[in-house]
Amino acid sequence: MIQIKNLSFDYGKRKPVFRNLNLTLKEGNVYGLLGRNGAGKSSLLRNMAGLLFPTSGTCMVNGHNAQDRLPVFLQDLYFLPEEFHTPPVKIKEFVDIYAPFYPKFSLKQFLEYLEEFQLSDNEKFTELSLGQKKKALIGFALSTNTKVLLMDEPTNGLDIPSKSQFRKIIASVATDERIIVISTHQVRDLESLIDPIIILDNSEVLLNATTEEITEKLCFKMVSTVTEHDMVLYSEHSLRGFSIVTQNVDNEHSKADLELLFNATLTSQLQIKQLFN
Amino acid sequence: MNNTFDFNRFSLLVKRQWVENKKLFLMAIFGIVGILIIINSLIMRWESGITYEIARFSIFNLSLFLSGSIFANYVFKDISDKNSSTSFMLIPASHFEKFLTGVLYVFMVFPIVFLTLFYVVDYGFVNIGNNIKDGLKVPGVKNIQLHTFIINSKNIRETLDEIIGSWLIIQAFVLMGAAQFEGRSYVKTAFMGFALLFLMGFVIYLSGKFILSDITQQFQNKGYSRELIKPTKDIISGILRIFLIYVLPPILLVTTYFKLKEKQV
Repeated sequence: MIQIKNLSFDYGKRKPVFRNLNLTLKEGNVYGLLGRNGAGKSSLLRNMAGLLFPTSGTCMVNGHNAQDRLPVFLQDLYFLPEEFHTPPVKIKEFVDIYAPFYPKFSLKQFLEYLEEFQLSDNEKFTELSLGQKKKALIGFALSTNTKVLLMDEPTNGLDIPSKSQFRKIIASVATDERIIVISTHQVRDLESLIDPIIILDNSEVLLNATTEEITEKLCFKMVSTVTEHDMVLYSEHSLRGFSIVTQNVDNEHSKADLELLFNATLTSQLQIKQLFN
Repeated sequence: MNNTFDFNRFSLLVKRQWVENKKLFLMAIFGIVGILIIINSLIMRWESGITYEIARFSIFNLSLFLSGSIFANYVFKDISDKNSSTSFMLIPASHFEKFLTGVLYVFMVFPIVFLTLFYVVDYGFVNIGNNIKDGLKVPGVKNIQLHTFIINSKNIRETLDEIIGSWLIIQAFVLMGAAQFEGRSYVKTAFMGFALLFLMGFVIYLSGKFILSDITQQFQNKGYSRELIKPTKDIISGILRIFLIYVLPPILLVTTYFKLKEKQV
């Protein structure tokens, strides 16, 4: 479990990134972390990984204070940053060096992922493209079988087939014991995968809900015209009319559209917070 | 599970440092050998086989301090850049193990490799020099033979502890700088080091001018000779020497450890 209590964080004198943030992330979920540029998605992931320290409050991961970065904590957490470093070695040398640090690492699993991504462990990182490096690291991250997996924009730089392979692989490793947190701007890439959804803005969590809770309280639909009594939280002009998000007062069934949800949350912050709190 | 030190994790970190950098390390070894050969060739008088002790002393110092500090900075390069630092900090090992790996490479591996390389080259040139001398031997006149550097040199042996002391301080200071600064850490550390030296020199100059000269004056006014002050000076310089060689490097290393522990990326 990841438990964040009254976490405040800032980069020096600039505006605080988080103010008294409270968040609990439980096993068995693939959390989608959404937010505008600079909302603090990466900073939150880095706080969870113990790479950044809260100015006040705590971030406990599996019962350990993240900022202590103890080996027992690190061997059960893998963080794949958006921009990453790969050493100038072959993939199999990389595995030789780093895999022994992770007690639950599975070489068989890793080789399967490499095959899925059409990579060979004999290739050198320096000879791979950015997307290929990322695929190798994603494969490694998943093979460590850590309880906590944090990924910052994992689909950035992946080609279209790789994105669907990524979804398939993540779905296969999302077990009841694991917490996966994925921060992304590419909501369309991961729409079918991430649940619950966490939206960050203005130093706080605006929304933290499962897609079931979201569709219970909100309705996503397409209409030809928008009237005032529709209780529209957000509308967007499209080719076939208007895509809208309304309060689900009539218990209608609809499919959550994450892009619309995100925009609705940012434009109608107060209403969304009242609905979900 | 021991979260402070585990030999298995430590050996994995040592292995990681070698596997990731072996090509560069080997290239550096060839580079150092090449530079030593070139400089030794330039300072040797090929017609007489004479080489100057002071020049050899300078080569030894310059190459030891320069290559040592570059290496010390390189060993902690993992924490001078955001991306590599992220990867390094998240390796499931303790801060102490990561710190100790750097210390092992900087204070044990480097001097062993450097001294081996230096003496191999030095031994080669000593032999070449002696062979040239033997070829020019005048019957009945005893030739002055060259000897391997330091080991047989009385003068240099006396300053050996000063060399080792200064080297330890510089290595520890560079390690601390590498842990402190992000990007161009070597240049920033060098700048900080020279700024501190300048500041220390200035303080010493001022205290010498205003405090010590005043005390000396008072002693002289009371009729004591300057000689009486000398033992006090020796004690002060002795204490300073012990501080610089045995106290300062450990302080710098402890600071480096805490910089590493508190590092945020």
